[in-house]
Amino acid sequence: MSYEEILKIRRVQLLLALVTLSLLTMYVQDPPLSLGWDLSGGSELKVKTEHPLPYVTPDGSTVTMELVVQILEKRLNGLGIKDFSISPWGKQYLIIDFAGTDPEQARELIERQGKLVVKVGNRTAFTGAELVRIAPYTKSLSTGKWQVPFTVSEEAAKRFREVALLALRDAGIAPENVTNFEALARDPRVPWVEMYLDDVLVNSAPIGGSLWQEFIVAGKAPRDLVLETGSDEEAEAEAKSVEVVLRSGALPIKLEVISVSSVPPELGMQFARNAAIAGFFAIVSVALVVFLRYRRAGVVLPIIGTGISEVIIILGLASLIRWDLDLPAIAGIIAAVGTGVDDQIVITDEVLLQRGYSMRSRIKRAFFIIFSAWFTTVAAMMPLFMIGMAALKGFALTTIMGVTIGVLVTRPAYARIVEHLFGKTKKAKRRKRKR
Amino acid sequence: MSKLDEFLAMDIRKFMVLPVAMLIAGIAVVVTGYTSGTLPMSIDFKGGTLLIAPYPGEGLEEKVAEQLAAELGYEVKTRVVSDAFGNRELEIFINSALSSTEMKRARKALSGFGIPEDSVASDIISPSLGEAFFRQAIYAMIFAFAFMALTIFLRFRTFVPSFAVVLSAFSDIVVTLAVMSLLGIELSKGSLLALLLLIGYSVDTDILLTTRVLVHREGDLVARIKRAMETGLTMSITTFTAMFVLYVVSNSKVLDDVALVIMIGMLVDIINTWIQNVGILRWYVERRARA
Repeated sequence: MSYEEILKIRRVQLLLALVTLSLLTMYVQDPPLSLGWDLSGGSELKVKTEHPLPYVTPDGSTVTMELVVQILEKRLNGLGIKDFSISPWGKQYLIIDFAGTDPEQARELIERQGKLVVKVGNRTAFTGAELVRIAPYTKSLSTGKWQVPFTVSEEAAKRFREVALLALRDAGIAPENVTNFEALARDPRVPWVEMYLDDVLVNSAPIGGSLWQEFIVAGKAPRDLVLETGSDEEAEAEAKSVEVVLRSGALPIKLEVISVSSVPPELGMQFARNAAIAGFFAIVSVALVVFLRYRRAGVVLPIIGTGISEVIIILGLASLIRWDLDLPAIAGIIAAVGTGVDDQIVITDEVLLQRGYSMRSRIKRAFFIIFSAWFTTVAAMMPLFMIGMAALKGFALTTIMGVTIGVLVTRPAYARIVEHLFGKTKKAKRRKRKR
Repeated sequence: MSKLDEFLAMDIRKFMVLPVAMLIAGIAVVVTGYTSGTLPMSIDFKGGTLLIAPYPGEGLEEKVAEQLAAELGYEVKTRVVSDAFGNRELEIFINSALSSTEMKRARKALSGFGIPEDSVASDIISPSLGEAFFRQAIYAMIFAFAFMALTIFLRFRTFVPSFAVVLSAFSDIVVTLAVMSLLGIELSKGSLLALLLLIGYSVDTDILLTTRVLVHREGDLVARIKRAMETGLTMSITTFTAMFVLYVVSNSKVLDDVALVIMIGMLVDIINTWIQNVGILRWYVERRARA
């Protein structure tokens, strides 16, 4: 039995064609395989919305998943996060992946709904919806504090002035009698401007003397205002966060971050490398076990060869459909190949040990067992794939893909190889004996 | 006569005590564990925080735990994991899903041990998500098992042999869960995957046995069982070997959990398939022959 003859078997040709195609796919695709964040390094956030979407708010507007995604996109862009992906999952969940390994900042940004309310005394002057322009955050030259400058609509500015004057009267001060505006700004009876973000007071400051002068004397309502956060490092981060949140607009629904994961690239690469090395040594040790059992290279080589082909074809398919390979997916590949080796042992034993029957019936019997095993594996994996615990979908997919490629392509090819190797040897021996 | 022949020639039914006792003990351990809430659960299912940091140095792991516990006010446990290449990591388990400010404090505290802030992997799972995962995991297990059982009954179309296969798979899962509980191996994403895989691996050997004994009926019964056993044990040994290698080489928690649980399951399956299932099938075939 020469190798050329094996290469002439249809099934083997199909197997080799698929292996070549898979290698080609990986060669053409850039990168050849897309790795999940847990292998390439990166972060993943799982987010839950307060209500299932679409949701009609008490005031009658409809909140859709698309809207939430849009706002989150703006926020992540604003934070300077590159290569992120936001995938809605079901009606109430979103999964956010990105390359950075410091997910805390992104998490804070997502957990903030971003409802800005500006009050003087206990009256609301305006809300975040009335902001028409938000400038990049800066450090104030005069106070040394971090601040986010913004512009409000004309009506909002007017209302701000009215509310401020009302507050003044509430405090028992008649605006028309005020002469010293700087003293007014420092007067403890005069209420301050309070800025609330999601019901948390983020900035409270007195109205300055010059602003009072404009309000009272000129009767004007200036539209450019600032929100100050403080002067330390934390205040800078806060200013940046506030800017991004205000710019993206308020989220129409509360979001809860229910899971945060991150893996540094070095650790991810170590996981990936170790998994690959483990796969290699697993194949070597399985080859050893198979050799100890059968003592023939003729059995070991095809088992190992088809096993490796299977890995290549699964990877090729994953590359083709751009499936992110994560650790569970790798476990799935290992499981599929493990099942493959088991099936090949079944084929080998039927062929080698049941000599009393025709080759066709021996192969048929082996495949009865193999198909039963395939049905049950797919049946056992289907619920996981359908329930779709997002993290384990990859595992279910690679396992189902692997065992299916197995029964359709690699097992038949292996069966034909074994059939030729051992079926014909017998006949050849008989022929020799006759001579 | 080889040892195996001698063994098979004996009335194997008296060994049935072993798998039956194993199953009863397994059910007892799992049920009491579940009702008393003592089944070891990973943060995947109960919520909490796992940090993976580069190994800070000999004897420092306890200090890291103390420091973090003092800083955060939660229970902190650590474990050192290593791979076959001498890479070592410190796994830090915190029994609370940390907020972003707590996480910043934790990173800062770790940097005090010379662990750079950006070298720490984190996994924070809220209790509500953990609970949802656990519910899904249970559904996945139940449906996987039901679909498998349905497939088996449709395939063999006879009650006793099909029931034997399903019983063997059930016993594999329950006893493996019990052993995990006794050894303190947590129920996690990885071990869930392993248990699902175990359903597949478990029935593979049973299908082989049932097919060889019932569907392809030639040669005497003991010879058929013996051949099935040779094939089946080879399958189990290769799987066990591959998982052993994976366990030794890999340093990822998911893959380690998968490997360890499958190894346990394979050992349990050997008893369930080659004693229990063989026992049931022999009884079934002999009774049918007499009828």
